[in-house]
Amino acid sequence: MSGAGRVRGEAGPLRPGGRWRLDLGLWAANGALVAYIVISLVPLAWLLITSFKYQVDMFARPPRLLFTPTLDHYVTVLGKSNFPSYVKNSLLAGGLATGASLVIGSLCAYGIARFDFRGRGAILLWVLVVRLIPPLALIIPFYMMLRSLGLYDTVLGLGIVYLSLNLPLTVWLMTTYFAEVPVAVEEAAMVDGCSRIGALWRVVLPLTAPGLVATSVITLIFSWNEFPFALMLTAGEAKTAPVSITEWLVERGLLWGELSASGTLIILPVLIFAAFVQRHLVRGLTIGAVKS
Amino acid sequence: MLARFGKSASLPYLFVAPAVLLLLAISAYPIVFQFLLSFTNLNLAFPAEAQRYFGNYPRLLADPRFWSSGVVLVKLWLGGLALTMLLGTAIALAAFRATFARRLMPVLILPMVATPVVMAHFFQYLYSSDYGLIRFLLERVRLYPGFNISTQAGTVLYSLIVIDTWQWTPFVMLIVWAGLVSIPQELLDAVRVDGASGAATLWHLILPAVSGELAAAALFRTVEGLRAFVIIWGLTRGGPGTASEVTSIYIYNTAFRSLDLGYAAAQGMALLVFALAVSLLLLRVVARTRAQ
Amino acid sequence: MAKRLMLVVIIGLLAGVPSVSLGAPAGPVEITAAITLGINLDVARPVTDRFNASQNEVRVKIDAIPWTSIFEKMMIEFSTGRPSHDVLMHSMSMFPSLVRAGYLEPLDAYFERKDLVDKAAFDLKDFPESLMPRERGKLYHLPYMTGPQILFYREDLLRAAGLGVPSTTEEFMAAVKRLHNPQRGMYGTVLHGIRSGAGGNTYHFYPFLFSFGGNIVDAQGRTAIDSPEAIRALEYWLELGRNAPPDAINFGAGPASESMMAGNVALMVTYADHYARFLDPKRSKIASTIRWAPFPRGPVGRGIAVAHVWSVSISRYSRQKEAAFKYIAYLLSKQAMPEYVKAGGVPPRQSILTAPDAPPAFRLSAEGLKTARGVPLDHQYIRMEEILSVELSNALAGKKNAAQALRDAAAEIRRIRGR
Repeated sequence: MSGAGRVRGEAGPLRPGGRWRLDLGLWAANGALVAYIVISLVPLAWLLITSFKYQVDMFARPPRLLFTPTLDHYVTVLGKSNFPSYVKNSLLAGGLATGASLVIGSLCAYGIARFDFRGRGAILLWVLVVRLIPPLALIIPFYMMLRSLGLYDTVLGLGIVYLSLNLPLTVWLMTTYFAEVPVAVEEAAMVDGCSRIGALWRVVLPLTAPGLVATSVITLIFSWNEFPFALMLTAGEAKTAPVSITEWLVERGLLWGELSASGTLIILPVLIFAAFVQRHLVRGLTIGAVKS
Repeated sequence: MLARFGKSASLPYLFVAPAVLLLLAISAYPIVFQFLLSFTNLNLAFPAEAQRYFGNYPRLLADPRFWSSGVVLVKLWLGGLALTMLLGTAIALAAFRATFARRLMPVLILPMVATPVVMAHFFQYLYSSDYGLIRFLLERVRLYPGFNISTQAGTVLYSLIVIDTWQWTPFVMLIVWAGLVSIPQELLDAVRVDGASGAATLWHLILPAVSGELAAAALFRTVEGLRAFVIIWGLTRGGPGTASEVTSIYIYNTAFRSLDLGYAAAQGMALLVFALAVSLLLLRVVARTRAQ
Repeated sequence: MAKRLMLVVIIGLLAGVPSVSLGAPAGPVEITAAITLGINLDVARPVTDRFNASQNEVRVKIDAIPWTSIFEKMMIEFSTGRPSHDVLMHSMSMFPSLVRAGYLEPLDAYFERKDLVDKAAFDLKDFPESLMPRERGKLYHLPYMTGPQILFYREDLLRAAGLGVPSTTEEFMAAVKRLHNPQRGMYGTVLHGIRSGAGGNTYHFYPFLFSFGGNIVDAQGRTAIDSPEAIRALEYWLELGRNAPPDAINFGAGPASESMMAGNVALMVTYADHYARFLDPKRSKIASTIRWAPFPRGPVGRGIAVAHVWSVSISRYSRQKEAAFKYIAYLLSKQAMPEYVKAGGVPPRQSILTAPDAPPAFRLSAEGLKTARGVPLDHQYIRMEEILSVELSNALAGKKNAAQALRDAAAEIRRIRGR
């Protein structure tokens, strides 16, 4: 993202000639972008609106924008289910996985970025393979593992599972961040008397702080949104927020009001979080994709 | 390409050891487990009668439903890939020209982080031909095909591709956009002096300049696309008939309806090998475009 | 094995916790019950609370599990031989597989134990025969919640069209066609079209199949799903589909009832226990005009619903089987019924269903259960159901006609069953 400092729209690449054509292209670009964003926000906006509708308004034809709002569904979701504890579980499992995968993954990434050793390529490839395993193939082995450790239906167990799912991504992302730090910086620190670990801790890590933030943002969001593993590996105690959506897919029905209310409660925090940290998110995703 | 130093033979292994051990424990185990399982006829309805069995792979080759699920998967993956790449690139170009792209970024990325399991169910409501918002909006612009596209065998894949595109276009857009803003300004200025046309600039300068980003985005989208499950399960469960049954859904049915774990494991292995082959191929393309 | 051990050690170290906790806890025995979310849980919760409060020997912890994934979850647990639950809930579709695999504990011996239950007061005969299938003479479950299909209709629409309440499948079809008017936003009926068992297309098709004289397997146990009667039943069902919302192919029982509640459907067949939702004015536009009737009589001269039931069983692997039995015997005891009914359940006890002050849905359920028929007790049943659900979906999508769809389903089912 090295474009900072250049004023956008002043020197666009598609501008072949005169001033009037420039303006036309600029406005077309602005218009297209805004139109796209508006359209892409419609489903989310409608989810939010639906969560405030009585069932009778939900099934109006044509769909209604004006209606008597109600908080009933939120009252049901927050009253009948244990929503705050699901959120707590989600955050704990995600936080645990993120913290652990940052430590373990960064160490590994540092080793890969700084050293040439046998098996280096194999590790990177293995990391990719892990990402490719169909989730369904992992569920039974994971259940057996957690059960034999007494970690079935615990936040810790789910955190370990999320750690394994996030570790590959962390290694890929952090390898590119470490590779960007010039070796000279580290050597200088070591000449000044730092040990290698000291240099890593005091010099290299601060330089890769944006990478650490970006990686943790991504792994937190992935963990928050994860569904199949949380569904199969938890029951009452460690149930996460996305799994709680299934409470409204009751046997004989699908309760749209409660579904959209709890859906809103699940999605809103991650949207707000993502909007706030989007710079890191964007940077993490793009650097991971482009440099790895 | 990476800066490396240090001659110690064992030091790098210390750095990578925790991650490698963890990855081995958590991912090698399931893969080995699944591989061994695929050579048994373990059926959960009569687990005591499980034996060594080599018939799963021949059966796979002769199973039309497995192959058709593969065709559905490839159609969905390529359809989603093509649309997200095209639209994502177009929006990135628009954002590159637009005046306020950076400020819009927080809202632009929202579909990408919205919890998939929530959206899968909610799209059922959006698609409804009786009270769905999509019908209502499309009728306003006279684009409504006259039926709910998620309910017809001939069009159900389009309905899934729409969701995929909605969800992942921001991702492609971000990566391409990051590539665009890192094109050196002098290069763009030089082209402007030459007076090349917009289309020629796009084709001969801009797209080649971001080819690495395009390839990387395609790789990432492929890894995710081949894991498709949650959205389809939430929207159609593989129907009508088997029209939207991707391999993961078929594996799910084999494992938990037919209870045929051995056969499901063989299907999972086949999917893993296919995903790996495709990804490695793309990885080479990424490496090659970068080398150029 | 060594690999697994190593793995356990590694993860145990990483997690920083002791991997096994030993030692028998003092005090009451604790057991865990897997109960499905929705009405089953709404009922189990207060009854379980009362059970826990009523004695000091057993403490029951409930794990609420979505009905869409309870079978998968139980199967994963059983497959590893280390289930997390002592008591589990299952639907009729899952039952044969669970019994055949040996995952359930037979209950007969426990009913003879005077220290565990008062057999006479429990009164097993109070449960309808159609809900008490035995495997080789043994009882493996107690029926927990029922609700056979009945007919729901809009009285205002029937009256305006001068139609009586349909009592045969012919009259039902005539009324559906007469009131079907999609241009004006009214559909004659609605189906459960989605690929699935209970709550999906197979269970919606079965009552028509049975009432037309068809069956899934015949009296000798041979696959019979492609019989002429079955094909006629499917043709009838597809004709209903042509007079239903086109989206119904993706509808489970929930969305189907919702289009009824939205006022878009004139008549429909669904589970009796939906009545309470139809009558809720907050959810339903048709609260004042909805009425119900028995499932219409088919060509066989009767209306035969599915004896659909959720049941509770004890896990074969439970270490606390006696405590588990005490719990399920309380859950379905006559003593627990007031609490059960208050929570909105439809109990499978005839004495409750036919009580003079019972709600209308109870009486219709009791009527329906007299003739209702279960699904075959075949350990491959859930697989048969999956095959049939795909072909029903194909037929509804117009990819195959009725005969072709059922012949394809039958061929596949014969291939796996061998008969």
